[in-house]
Amino acid sequence: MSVVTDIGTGGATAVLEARRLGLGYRRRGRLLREVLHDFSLQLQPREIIAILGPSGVGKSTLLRVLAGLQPPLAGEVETFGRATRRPHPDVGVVFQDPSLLPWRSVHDNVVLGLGFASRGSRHDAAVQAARAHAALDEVGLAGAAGLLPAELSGGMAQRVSLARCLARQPRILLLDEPFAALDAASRAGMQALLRRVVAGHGAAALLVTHDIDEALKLADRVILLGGSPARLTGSWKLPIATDPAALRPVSPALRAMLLAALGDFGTASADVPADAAQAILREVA
Amino acid sequence: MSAAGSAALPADVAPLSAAPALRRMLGALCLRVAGLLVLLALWELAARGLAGTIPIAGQMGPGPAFGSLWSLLAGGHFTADIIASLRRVLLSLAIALAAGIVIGVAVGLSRLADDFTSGAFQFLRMISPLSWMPIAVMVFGIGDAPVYFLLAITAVWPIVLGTAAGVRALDPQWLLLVRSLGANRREALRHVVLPGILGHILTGGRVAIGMVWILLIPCEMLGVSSGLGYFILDSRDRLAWSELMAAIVLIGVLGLLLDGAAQWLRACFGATSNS
Ligand SMILES: Nc1ncnc2c1ncn2[C@@H]1O[C@H](COP(=O)(O)OP(=O)(O)OP(=O)(O)O)[C@@H](O)[C@H]1O
Ligand SMILES: [Mg+2]
Repeated sequence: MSVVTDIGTGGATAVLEARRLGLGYRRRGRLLREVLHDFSLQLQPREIIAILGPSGVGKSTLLRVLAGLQPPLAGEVETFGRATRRPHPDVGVVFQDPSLLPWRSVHDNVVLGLGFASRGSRHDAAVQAARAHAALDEVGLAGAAGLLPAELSGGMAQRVSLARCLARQPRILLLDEPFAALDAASRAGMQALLRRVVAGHGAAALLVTHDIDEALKLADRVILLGGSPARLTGSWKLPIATDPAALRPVSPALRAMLLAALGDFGTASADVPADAAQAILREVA
Repeated sequence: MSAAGSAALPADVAPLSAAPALRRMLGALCLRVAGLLVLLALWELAARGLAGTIPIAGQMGPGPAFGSLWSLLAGGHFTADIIASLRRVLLSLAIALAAGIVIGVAVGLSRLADDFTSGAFQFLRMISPLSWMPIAVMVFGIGDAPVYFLLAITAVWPIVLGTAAGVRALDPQWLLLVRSLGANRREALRHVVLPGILGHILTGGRVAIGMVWILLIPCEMLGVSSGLGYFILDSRDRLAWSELMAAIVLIGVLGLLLDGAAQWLRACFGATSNS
């Protein structure tokens, strides 16, 4: 609880840092599959980093490791300057699968994240209920609070899962394709909400997405995973946004370049020449 | 289950489906009552048909049986036996639940425990609990203890199997989720594992109740002096044939009620936990 108190000042301290991570799965001590190699990353306060990459490259695995839910094979993760061994109370995860408990109502699913003993501040039931209600309201589902998960559409379930994460007011958001099942209109709404949360509460977010436009609208930085063996193949800083709470306009040139880089997957390398990217970025700026 | 599901649907869906659903339920109820009436008629016919060759059969028809049932219930002569029987059922069920859930969780969690025990369990499950009767009496003596033992080992298998199936059906993603929300092991057990397997446990429990109720009657025919099984032997000795038939009717009705209660519990607490 000590290191990052100046989170709002936008200081140079990374809230989340990965150093030379190697990811994979073991079974009974033996290596089953290696997923990602030599991955390093620094997430700054108020920053959104979008992660793009083909299916199976290890994006969900990476988020689980960064969240402290699964150990890496190599390297280390630091959350707010401390080694991550278990989930941090100020980190919120939205899983690729909405993961709602089917026997709890929507409201009770959102409240679930607010009451565990490890949370530094325990609130009484009324405060928890109010926060859950506010979070559901923000994702436009205040009217669905009494429904059971089985009665929700895929997009609704995903928004409940987002509300459950936001209700905890995390300072780091790890989001695994959180808007994938949404229609265009509510997707735009949720994207704007994420931008507002990051700008307003000074949170930072890591956003896994398959949607290049989404990455360009939301992110301050876009990174690309790919190749074989899989690793970080590209990282682009986007021009500083004039209004941090608003979505960026998508530059067609940048879009085309990312599309080309993504289309290159499956081959040995998906590197985009740095100078080419720089040229485009200058053009955008 | 479908009733519980439709009750919670959004309000705008309900009026559309309510009328046909109600009509279907009423229809099903009428058919059920009709089936019971046919059963009564068959019983009456059998009693009359047999009365020619076996004179006592006349006392065993529905008329005398229900007459005795009413006077026995009204006079309070059944109360002690009903309480004794229900106590045996519920207590042995509690023993079986305590043991069965622990064994079931272990078997469901560990492949090793499952492989190690599955052969033995399948073998034991196939032995009619009544075959243990002489051994149970030898070990536990005469009285209630062997009855509890026999009923508990009857009930334990469906509960073990149900619990193990429930644990295997737990979504690992749920555990990941509550860990990410900051739950410790105890909280994960309380908020995910137990509610997640409750539906399966209750399903196993319902099967167990049915089996225990069926086995209770022969168990009460040895060495105890209370309960509905004892009442049957006793009324035979007293040549009170209509009372014997009354006991049979009561056994069926109580069994139905027990099963209904188990079903209701399952609908209340377990219906949504494994969809
Ligand atoms: N529990 C697991 N045990 C073993 N291997 C796994 C496990 N989970 C994932 N993998 C493997 O790790 C690799 C990366 O999976 P991951 O889910 O991280 O990919 P992803 O990039 O999120 O894909 P997608 O875009 O489809 O969600 C895959 O090859 C997958 O088969
Ligand atoms: Mg994934």
